[in-house]
Amino acid sequence: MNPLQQAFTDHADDYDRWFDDHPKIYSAQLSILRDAVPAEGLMLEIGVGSGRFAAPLCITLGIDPSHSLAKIAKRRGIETVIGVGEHTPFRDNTCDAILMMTVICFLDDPLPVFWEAHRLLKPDGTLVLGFIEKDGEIARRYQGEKVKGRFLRYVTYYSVDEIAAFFQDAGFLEVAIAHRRKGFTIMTGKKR
Amino acid sequence: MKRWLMDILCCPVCKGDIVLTVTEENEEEIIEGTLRCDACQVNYPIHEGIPNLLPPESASE
Repeated sequence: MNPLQQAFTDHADDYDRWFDDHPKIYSAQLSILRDAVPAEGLMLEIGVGSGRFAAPLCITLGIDPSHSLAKIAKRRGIETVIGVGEHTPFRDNTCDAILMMTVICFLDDPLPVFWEAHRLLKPDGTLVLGFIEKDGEIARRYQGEKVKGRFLRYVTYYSVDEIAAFFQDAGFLEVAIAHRRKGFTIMTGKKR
Repeated sequence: MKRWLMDILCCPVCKGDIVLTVTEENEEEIIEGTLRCDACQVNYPIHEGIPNLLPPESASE
């Protein structure tokens, strides 16, 4: 288990409680995602965590490498599978939409996860990606915070241009910015 | 793990078919069992209703 997975295993409840302790940020993020996530068909969240986003967004399916977080997500009613985004256990062309929320920064190599998302989506399916921008206001603020800092010390942040390149390299079209404020950005891409 | 999940599940490594064996199930879902990929010769456990489909390499890290 790498140090990041260990941190999520040891502190799953702390991670989950962060959302209760920061209701304004949580509800603002949810409201932005509601506008960006197409709410129909089979939706998957890669890196579902404890299901804090999937559950209120009615995303039925989630995958996460952490046993501790998967158990909490399951209690929130999400059909949860333990696994990794680089090697997902789902068939081609099965999902109408895929969400990755603040996940990309934890990956050693993001491109294989974009390939997998592209493989899993049906034609016309949408990948919605929420991320903290490199050198942005939120990235700087979280570094100093205890609970978030515990997980975010292991991260690599990316710029909008770098994320757009991942989308394009994996074959996504109509890559667009759906939201961008204070260094938190949501981008979408379509499979054709 | 709900039964419908079998419609979309495959081996995380070779993406081939996986075979479900159930050892405990209730009205709602499969609680305990295994998912086997014959091609890769790997058994993936289902425990407390959650299938663990971590590829063998990541599971052993």
